Amino acid sequence: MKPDGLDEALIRAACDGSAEAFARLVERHQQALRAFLRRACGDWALADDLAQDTFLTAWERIGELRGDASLRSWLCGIGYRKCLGALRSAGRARRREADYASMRETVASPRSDERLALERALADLPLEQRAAVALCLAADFSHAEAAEALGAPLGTVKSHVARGRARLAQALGVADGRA
Amino acid sequence: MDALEARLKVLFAEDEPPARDAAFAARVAEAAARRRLRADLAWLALACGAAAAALFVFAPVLAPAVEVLARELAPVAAGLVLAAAATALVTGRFGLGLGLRS
Repeated sequence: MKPDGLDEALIRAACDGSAEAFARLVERHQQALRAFLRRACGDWALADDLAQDTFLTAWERIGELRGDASLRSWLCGIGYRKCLGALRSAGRARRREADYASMRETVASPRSDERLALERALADLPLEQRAAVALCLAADFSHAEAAEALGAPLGTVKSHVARGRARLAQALGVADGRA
Repeated sequence: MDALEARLKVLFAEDEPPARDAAFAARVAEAAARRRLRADLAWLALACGAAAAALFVFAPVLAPAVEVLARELAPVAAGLVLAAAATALVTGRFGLGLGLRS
């Protein structure tokens, strides 16, 4: 996916050091990045911290963004690597995984049984699968874009998404039309 | 889009962060400014350290030259200070206070 015109102009301005242009990019992409990180790591507070950190890294490395690359994929890629690092460090992974459902219940509005079933099913998925599902099924990334963002081979991403779909379909009691 | 994807779309949409979040954007801007300030301070400290080290190394060469220059330039410096004071007195706010200018 190529960056749209406005993104392209803002990226150019940010490369030239415009903090204002970068602030506009943050405004335009914070929703997608935070939604992805919330689904990938399950802890909303941690996800928002990681999103903030991701934007700071992006601000420092914006010059490295290839002209034809999608900013959204690039940001999600940085965020995913930060998420991996955070969850793998200092035994945090086990604690976060275990706390996944309870944390979400405390920060979000009352949810339906279906919603809770989805959250539990997501929490049971391995992180790589959850990230692939979050990008392809929740954020409308193509498999190729998700592979680029996650730094994984296309085939691996396709298989993660297929397995994730099957698990979510089972949890929701909906027939998976592609199974 | 099949039934599962449609159902997932609805469920995922329930916990999307807001499309505009001024507080989050402000936090990012603040953190970026803090990081820039820290980088600027680090460069400044490095430059000051390098200048101090250079002065320390070249002090034996610089000290006699500075003494000679100070002796030679003292009258000129005194004259400049007096001229600046007179200018401030006549044209500046101090002059206004004394009623030298209207």
